[in-house]
Amino acid sequence: MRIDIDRTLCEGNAVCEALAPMVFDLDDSDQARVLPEALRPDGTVNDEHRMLVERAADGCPRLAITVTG
Amino acid sequence: MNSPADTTAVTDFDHHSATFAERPFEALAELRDTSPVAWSTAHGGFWVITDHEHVVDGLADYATFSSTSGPAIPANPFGTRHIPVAFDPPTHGLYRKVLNEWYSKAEITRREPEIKAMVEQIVAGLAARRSWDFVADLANVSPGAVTLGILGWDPARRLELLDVMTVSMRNQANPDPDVQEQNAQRNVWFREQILGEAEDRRAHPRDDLMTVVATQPVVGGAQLTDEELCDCVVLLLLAGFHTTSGAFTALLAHLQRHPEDRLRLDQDRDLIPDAIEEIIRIYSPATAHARRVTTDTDFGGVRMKEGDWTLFVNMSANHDPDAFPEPEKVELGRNRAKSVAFGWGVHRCLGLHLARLILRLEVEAVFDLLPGYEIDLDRAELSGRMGQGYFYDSMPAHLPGKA
Repeated sequence: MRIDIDRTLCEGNAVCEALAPMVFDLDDSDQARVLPEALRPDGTVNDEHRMLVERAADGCPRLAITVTG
Repeated sequence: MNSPADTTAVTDFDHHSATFAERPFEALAELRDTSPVAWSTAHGGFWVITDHEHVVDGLADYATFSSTSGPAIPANPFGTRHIPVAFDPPTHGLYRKVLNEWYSKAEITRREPEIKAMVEQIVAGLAARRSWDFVADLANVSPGAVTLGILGWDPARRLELLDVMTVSMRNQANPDPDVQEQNAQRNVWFREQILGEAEDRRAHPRDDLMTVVATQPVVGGAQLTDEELCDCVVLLLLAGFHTTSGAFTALLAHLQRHPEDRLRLDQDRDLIPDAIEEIIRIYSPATAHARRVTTDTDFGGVRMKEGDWTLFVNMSANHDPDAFPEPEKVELGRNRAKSVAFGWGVHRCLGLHLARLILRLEVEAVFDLLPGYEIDLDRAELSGRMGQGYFYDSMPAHLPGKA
């Protein structure tokens, strides 16, 4: 799957990190990012944590996370 | 209520007790070090979870640990169906989506000038009096006033409403039937006020949050019922009130004990947001969140049964040395990524951007308008209700030259 975070929407509420900590965290500027270790070379993310990632996308207060594929 | 197995650590831990209030951090450390997931016999029995790992795991797992019985043990005196905290996804998200728009970082930033003016007006009043109580005269006044402003209520009514909330929350765990009857009556009165405002907005819609919750379809295209509307507005008022007050006075107490930090913050205002985060990590404005187990589950080395109550103690998770080295030490620049001061998971504080703004504006106004202020820490009174949050009941202060 592919995960896109709209950084113009993200405001660092950290709900994604709470729901799927193996995929998301906040960077130094308090914005959500996909963990480098979760990213594959082609920019996609392993499906292993799909359910939690979808929960994180649904739970994001700003709807800043899009999951495709 | 199910009884735990023989191997379970059993405690009489009661977050609402006077013994807990006397030494909350020590009591939690003892529990966390020996049995981070224990069974408490208080309040009909509940699991008490005190280490960082299990607090964040549990609060993130809304499917197993449900909010639908209400997030407090015992129940909140103003009801247990509060919107959106007493709902799980997906319903939770439908309510929250409407509210998010009013509490987003962008919206709160837009309101900064009006909130700043409100805070400065209150603080200027303190300067004129030269002696005051930081709890009653500032910390307990500004958050409620700002929330009522977002809702679009008359700021002149704020003291009346705040008084009612204060008394009932103080009596939350009081078993006296007469006291609980008085709480019930205050709840009825409170709801009448909310419905009165809602009726007014239906007749005269305005650009405020009260109009939105009173008139606009929210869930599945339906308007909120009167009951839902009350459950939502009560929560918005209650949630930001004591919490923000507690955070502000805990910061002031720290600065009084550590003049070097006070000087640093006054000279470098950019440090204020970090200081706020670190203070609320240590002095939790919200002590704990209750959830109810939806299905038999193994968690933290114990077997939990469907229907069991659980209490996730944020105050303890934020003092866990495994998550925060030297947890009792105030480090202004500490990384706050793991802090659960604003909760964790889908219920993470809706008003966190507002709380951060109010707290920053309060500190700035105090520095600017009350130069040289002194707090009489010996006369400051910590609350006996640490089960709700780390609050002060009183914090007398004065300008130099008047004690």
